[in-house]
Amino acid sequence: MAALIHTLFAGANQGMLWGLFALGVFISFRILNFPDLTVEGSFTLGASVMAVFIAKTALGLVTACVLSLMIGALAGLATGLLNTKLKIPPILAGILVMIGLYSINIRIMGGANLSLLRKDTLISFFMDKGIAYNFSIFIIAILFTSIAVAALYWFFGTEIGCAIRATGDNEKMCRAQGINTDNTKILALMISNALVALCGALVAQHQANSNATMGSGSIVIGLASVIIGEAFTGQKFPFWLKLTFIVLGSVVYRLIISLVLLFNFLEASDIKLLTALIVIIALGIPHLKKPKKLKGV
Amino acid sequence: MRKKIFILVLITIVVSVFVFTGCNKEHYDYSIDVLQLVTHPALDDAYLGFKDELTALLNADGKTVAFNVKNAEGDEENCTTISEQFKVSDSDMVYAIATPAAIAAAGAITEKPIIFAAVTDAEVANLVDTNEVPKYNVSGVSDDLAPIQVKKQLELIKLLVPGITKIAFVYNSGEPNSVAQLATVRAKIDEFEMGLTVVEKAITDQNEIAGQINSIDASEIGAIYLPTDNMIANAAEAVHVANKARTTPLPIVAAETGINDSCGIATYGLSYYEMGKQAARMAYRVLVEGADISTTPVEWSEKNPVLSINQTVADEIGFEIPQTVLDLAD
Repeated sequence: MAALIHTLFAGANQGMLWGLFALGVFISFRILNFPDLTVEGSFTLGASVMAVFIAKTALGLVTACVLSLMIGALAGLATGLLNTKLKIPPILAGILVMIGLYSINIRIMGGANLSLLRKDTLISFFMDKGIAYNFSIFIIAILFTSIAVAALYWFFGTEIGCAIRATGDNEKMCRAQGINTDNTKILALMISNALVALCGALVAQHQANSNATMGSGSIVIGLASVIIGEAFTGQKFPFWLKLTFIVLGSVVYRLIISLVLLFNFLEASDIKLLTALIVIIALGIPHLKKPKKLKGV
Repeated sequence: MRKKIFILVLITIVVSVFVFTGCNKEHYDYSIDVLQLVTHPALDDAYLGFKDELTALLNADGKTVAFNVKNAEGDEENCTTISEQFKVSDSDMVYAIATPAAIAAAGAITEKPIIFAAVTDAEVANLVDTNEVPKYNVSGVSDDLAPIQVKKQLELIKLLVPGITKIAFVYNSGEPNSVAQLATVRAKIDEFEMGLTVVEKAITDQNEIAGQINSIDASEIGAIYLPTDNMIANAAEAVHVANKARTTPLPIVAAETGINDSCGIATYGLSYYEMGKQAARMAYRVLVEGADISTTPVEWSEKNPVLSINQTVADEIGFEIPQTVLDLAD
């Protein structure tokens, strides 16, 4: 029983850390309506930058977090420029930046991976204050996700934030209103990838390792989290609550995975199939029941 | 409606969880949690060797042991999840197979001893303070290519292809183990003045293997060397197929027997099964004889490199193994 409670707690922490990734994916896929695959690369980018700072420099952890954010934003900028200035389709633009980042990440780390074991991380910072390992992670996770949710809520209420939302809803209409949709797209992608890079920076500290391949497949996890979160969200929910539910979606995803791994009712190799099924179910159910509930739409 | 379905799914999971926790109450004297990075022959052998040897050692004392095996299937985030679970399980020890698994375990678990295998450099990974005195709750058996083994493999290539000047080194540039081995191979060539040049053929994806194998110029390069690379290990058959499809198939020497069995013609191999057995003997000393893991030095696989010749592959690619090499086997 203790094992179960611990598993759920640890899984929830992991889910909250990955909530930043889900928020990033939510911004590009949902708000901007831009299927951005850059995140697989910017996730590792954030992890690499953080790892190098922790392993090889004496700069503060906060500085490293801010730098991860900024460098992640640069990855988003690259994808945005490829798409808006060179007219490369969204998916391809994302893939191009993603594969390019693979090489860059190895350059940054000076190798394919960097161990952060027994180094001064945010986790050890809290542990040095006498807080238990899992509670340290909990504090970090809740701190960063709350700040992110609050900041995003504020930002998407500003004029430029509304312009981004409008761009995702109806780009042509937006341009007719005099909004430069190229700029709003680029900005949204920068924010999205900055969040994802920060997520990578935190996850690397939790894994005690940064690895050139750690981002592969993460986009599906992010999407699954977003879709699970949305499945719980009602039409009339305020925006901040929607953002919170995206993070919760990520928590639910991790809890499912944790339970699958704890009890051997599935092979670990079945998890990817399970993820695919979760996404299909969550995407499919609203459409299957649509005919009955049309009146309010 | 969809909320109800989700709640139903969650309830089902929770209920099944309780049902499953209800089982598995059989008593064992010792229980070991095993965290394996990914399924592939070398790592599977590292587990089997450990399991067989530790079971035999404990059974000889009249004790029983249970193994709780979790496989992260290559996802490091799963390694972290599983390590969190091992942290609070009632096992006596954790056995971690491959570097990322060992790092994840060491990051989360400080309460019980962790024995690793198939880790190339425990110091660089910060698993241990020094190989001689680990200092923490972690020690194990390193699969670092023993210098003698690389040297013997390179000498073998020179015997297989007399007059060879260039070898191709096919590896996944994303794997630290393989990058480290590339450096080792180059260092050995320089140290023993073997007169070989290493041509890197890096892959980042299994799908690139065929292309890279095809791109090797047989007029310059006489043989292919494969490191103990996880991606290559998973796709050793693909390497063989690609090599066989070449107009002039090249002899392949793999750093590890498991890979060599699929596509190589001969090698001095390191048996991961033996490495697992060695790790089990270390585990036995810690579990039963009360050895302190923080002062148990990291070990290197004791078994001397053993020459294994793969006549099947040699026949398939039409390569005649020189008598000089065949003589070595006896």
